[in-house]
Amino acid sequence: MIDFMIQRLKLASITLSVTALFLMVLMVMVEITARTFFQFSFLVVDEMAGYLMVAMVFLGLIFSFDSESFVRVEAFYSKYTGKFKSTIDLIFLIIILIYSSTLTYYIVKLNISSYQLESKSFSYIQTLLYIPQLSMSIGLIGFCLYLVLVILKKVGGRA
Amino acid sequence: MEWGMSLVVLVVIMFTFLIPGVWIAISLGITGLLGIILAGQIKMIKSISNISWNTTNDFILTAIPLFLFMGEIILASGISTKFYTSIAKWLKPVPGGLLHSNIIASSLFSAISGSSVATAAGIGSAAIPEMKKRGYRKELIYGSIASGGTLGILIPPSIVLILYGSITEESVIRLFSAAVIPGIVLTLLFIMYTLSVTLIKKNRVKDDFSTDITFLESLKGILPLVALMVIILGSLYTGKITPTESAAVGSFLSLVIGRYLGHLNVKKIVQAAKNAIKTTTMIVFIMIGAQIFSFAIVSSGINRELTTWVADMGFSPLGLLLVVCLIYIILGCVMDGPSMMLLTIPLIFPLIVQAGYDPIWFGVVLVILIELGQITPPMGLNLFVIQSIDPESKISEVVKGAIPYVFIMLIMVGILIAFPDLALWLPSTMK
Repeated sequence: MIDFMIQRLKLASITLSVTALFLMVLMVMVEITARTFFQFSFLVVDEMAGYLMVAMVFLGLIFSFDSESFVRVEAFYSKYTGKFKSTIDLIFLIIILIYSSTLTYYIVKLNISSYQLESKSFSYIQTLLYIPQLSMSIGLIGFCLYLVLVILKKVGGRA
Repeated sequence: MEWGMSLVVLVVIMFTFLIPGVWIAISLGITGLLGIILAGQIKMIKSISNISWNTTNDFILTAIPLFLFMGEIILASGISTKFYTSIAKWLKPVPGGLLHSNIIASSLFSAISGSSVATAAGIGSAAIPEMKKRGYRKELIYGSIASGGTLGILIPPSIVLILYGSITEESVIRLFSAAVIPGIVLTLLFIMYTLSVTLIKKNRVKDDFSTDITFLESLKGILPLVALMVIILGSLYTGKITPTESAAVGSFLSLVIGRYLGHLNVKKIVQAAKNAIKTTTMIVFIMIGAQIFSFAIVSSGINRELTTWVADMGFSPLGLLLVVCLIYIILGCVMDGPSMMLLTIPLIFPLIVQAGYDPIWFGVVLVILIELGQITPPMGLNLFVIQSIDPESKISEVVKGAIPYVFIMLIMVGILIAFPDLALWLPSTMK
């Protein structure tokens, strides 16, 4: 069950993130084509690319972390083995869960306040900021859930 | 708490997390959070939401996933082998031709792929078996590939320079143009070294590389990537498009090149996107951690006090620069390039600017020092990549091969200190 949920979270993470990346390429290419051949600019590409970047990064967080792409100083870590390594891994996972939960708490609060205050971007389309910020909240909540599942799996494995 | 003590406490906390192996992004972020608490500014912790939002929602940074995607596409399409073989054919008349091929192919390829590790892997897997067969000394093979791959961090488009531009608010286009001449000079220095080495009798090989490909075929192997680079840099230099737009154009062109000249398919494209996302997410989370850390430093007044202290100590600008270089050389031994830069810039950048150094020039020097870290033991990533490609190799052989290039990079830093215009001339010609 835990494995199934982790896999689902990973799949959702990478699907949404890849979609954001492809949309970014497509949008910028359409803007360049329109500007070069039709002397026309949408004037929102910079802003939208930024929002897609946020979505790509936060929604792709689970996949990226699970793929072990987060770097660390390996000098000592590479020498850990057996039970000691699994204990250390568990401690590190708890540390990252504390950090991510703090980040999630404040980002969700920001998201809620942007919604309540109807904060808008300075561009002419005046995007309601809570919409792009939602990808940060969703990505981080998903990531915390993923970390809890991984910790439960590790604890279960040790037991 | 007195600022000096605060700084020491923060550094100790950070290394308490870093050394056992907590992820760098998390170590930076947690140290930042603790720093804010220790500074008695607990109410300011809520700022981490705005820090995360503003760091990620940055148009300059959007160039990173797009350049990485472009590089991943080129790698996935299998063009690297054709590119290497074609360069080797052109350099056949030169003594030790394959060694020069390694450096030239790696420098061009890593500039496009944006990853020195991927380049060392891509070029190395094509070059190492061929060169061992021809009797080249192992140290020379490993050294030329490991160091050639590092050149891409300097030669634009460079991910590290985009990061530097984003943090210091310097123009990425100016940074790119500042890196062009030092990149070429460093490549030439590498080539001069390999040429001098191959003139020594024991390093000569009897039977150098010969390929079946015609001149026209070799042109087909080289021109697409060179054209891609010229289009990207040319459009940036003329100011027609932004770095993000040039990266999008590069991604699109690499899809076309990969489809028609390589072995690109949908599965490989998706995999390339996944790889680009993995790296981007990792970098952005290090940036968020570094910005939280930087916020702690600023809110506790450490950076202001440190700058004043350094000014009062009466360090000469050159003395300060040499100390900074030493710090980066040491850090490069244990940390990867982007992390090292993001970790140190909040403290070091104001000192360098106050000492009167040009921020654009310093960006170039910093990137060379980061390059150096890629090939210095025990954490030089390129060294391990080479070792993993050739199971018969020993890490000591790879290190031995890379050491002369470390010294060449240090010489290059010296040249840049003596002749800063090498980096500053080209940006000054831009409108």
